[in-house]
Amino acid sequence: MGLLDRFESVTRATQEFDANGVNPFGVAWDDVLSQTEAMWRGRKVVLAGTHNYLGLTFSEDCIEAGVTALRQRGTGTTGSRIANGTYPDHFALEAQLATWFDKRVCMVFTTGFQANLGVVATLGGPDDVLLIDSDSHASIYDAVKLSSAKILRFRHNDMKDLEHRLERLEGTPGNRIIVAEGIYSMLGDRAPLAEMIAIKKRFGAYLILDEAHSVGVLGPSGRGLAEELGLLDDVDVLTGTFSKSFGTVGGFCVSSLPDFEVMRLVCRPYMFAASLPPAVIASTSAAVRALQTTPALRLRLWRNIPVLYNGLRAAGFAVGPHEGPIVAVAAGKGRDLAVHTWNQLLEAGFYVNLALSPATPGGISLLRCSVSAAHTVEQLQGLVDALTRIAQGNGLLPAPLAVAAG
Amino acid sequence: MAIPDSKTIAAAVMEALEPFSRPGQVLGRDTDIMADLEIDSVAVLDVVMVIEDKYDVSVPLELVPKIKTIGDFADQIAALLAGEK
Ligand SMILES: Cc1ncc(COP(=O)(O)O)c(C=O)c1O
Repeated sequence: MGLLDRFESVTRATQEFDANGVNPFGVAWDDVLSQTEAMWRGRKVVLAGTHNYLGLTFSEDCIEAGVTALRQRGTGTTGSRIANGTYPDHFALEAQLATWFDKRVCMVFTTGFQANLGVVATLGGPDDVLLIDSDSHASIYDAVKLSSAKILRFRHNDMKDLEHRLERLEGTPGNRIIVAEGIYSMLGDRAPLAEMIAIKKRFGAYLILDEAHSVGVLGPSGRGLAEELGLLDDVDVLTGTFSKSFGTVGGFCVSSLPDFEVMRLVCRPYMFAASLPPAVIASTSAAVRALQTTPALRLRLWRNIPVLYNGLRAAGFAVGPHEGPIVAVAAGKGRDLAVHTWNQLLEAGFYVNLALSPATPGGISLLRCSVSAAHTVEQLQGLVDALTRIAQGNGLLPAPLAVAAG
Repeated sequence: MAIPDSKTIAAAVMEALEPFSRPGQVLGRDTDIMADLEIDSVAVLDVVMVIEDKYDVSVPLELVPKIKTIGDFADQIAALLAGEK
């Protein structure tokens, strides 16, 4: 048997994508022009499927900081944090984030994926129980596989179900560790954090909260959902990424748990991967400062979000339950109509993400749009209009009633 | 409540998996869940939740890959129930 035979259905799907148009998972830009525009096959496309929530990828300050660090300290560290890969810049960024989140310790990882992998897998020990939301990101699903803990999955955002699973554990040993996300990556909906924390306290459990999509977006100072609800102190470990609002790459965790520092010597995705290059650290640090000093970025994002969310909803699309930077549009159960609509939208000059089962909740297909502070209202309105026209034409939305004459 | 036997549990599993069967397919203990049904890995986890609720038992995620057939599924639940009661 061939080594890749197991993936035959994926190979077949890819061939189908190629035969019927553009492969939604194989898009490559000719060039990227700005936070919101790229060139694709010779024409300009509006980018509405990124995580460039604050539009910081082309910030002058972030670019300058990166260029300076690149010249001063070179292209890469060629080593991990526990060997030769810790420069003053790494500790400075950690101190900046720890102070901002008002937590004792911050650890910076090479990606957000590794931050989750490291934190979740390392904290879940042999007698422990990790309770994860069913809509968890792939990094959390992979993390629990790496851990030696028992793994329980609760229904998405269903606090009764979480409670019930904790009750069933009564009398068994080990720590209970709940893993949730501030804003969920597929539907853009938020965790019921206040209820979750009440449950956590009642059962003496711990909470790891991934704020990948909510940092820079929620909270009076942009620190995420926990900050928005005044619950940061009740989050035992908060993880995040630099690849969304901060516009760079990398991940982090912050925590005030006693002895959390030991994680630097037991958390393998932190210990055995080269640290981030100085230029990335410097740009990220500048991005943190931008978040702290320029609330206008967040205000601009929130000016834009309703344009897309309300616009699509008013056009008749089923969107996620909460307004936010991810606006997911349901595109039916099968894949064909969703792939077709996605292709038509790209032809019309708009790039969004396509998400298909099994990556989506409930097996539905999603056209996953995202909003940036850098979008103009015209770009977002253009997306609403184009998607509405396409969907009315291909049956995803009912055709509009003919306007009665007179 | 008496602990249900594997046969009773298998019937409940078959009922929960029915929506994923192919036209005309008859489900049995030997039905291979991933290979014989129109179901993906995440939908299997959702079916596991339905059975967990029905029997008030938690099936740790790490046990799921060991479940190949409907019979395995029922045996696993029966074993968990026997262990927990
Ligand atoms: C919820 C969530 N957590 C973690 C990650 C991983 O982040 P990164 O891109 O930094 O690896 C992502 C991004 O894909 C995400 O959506």
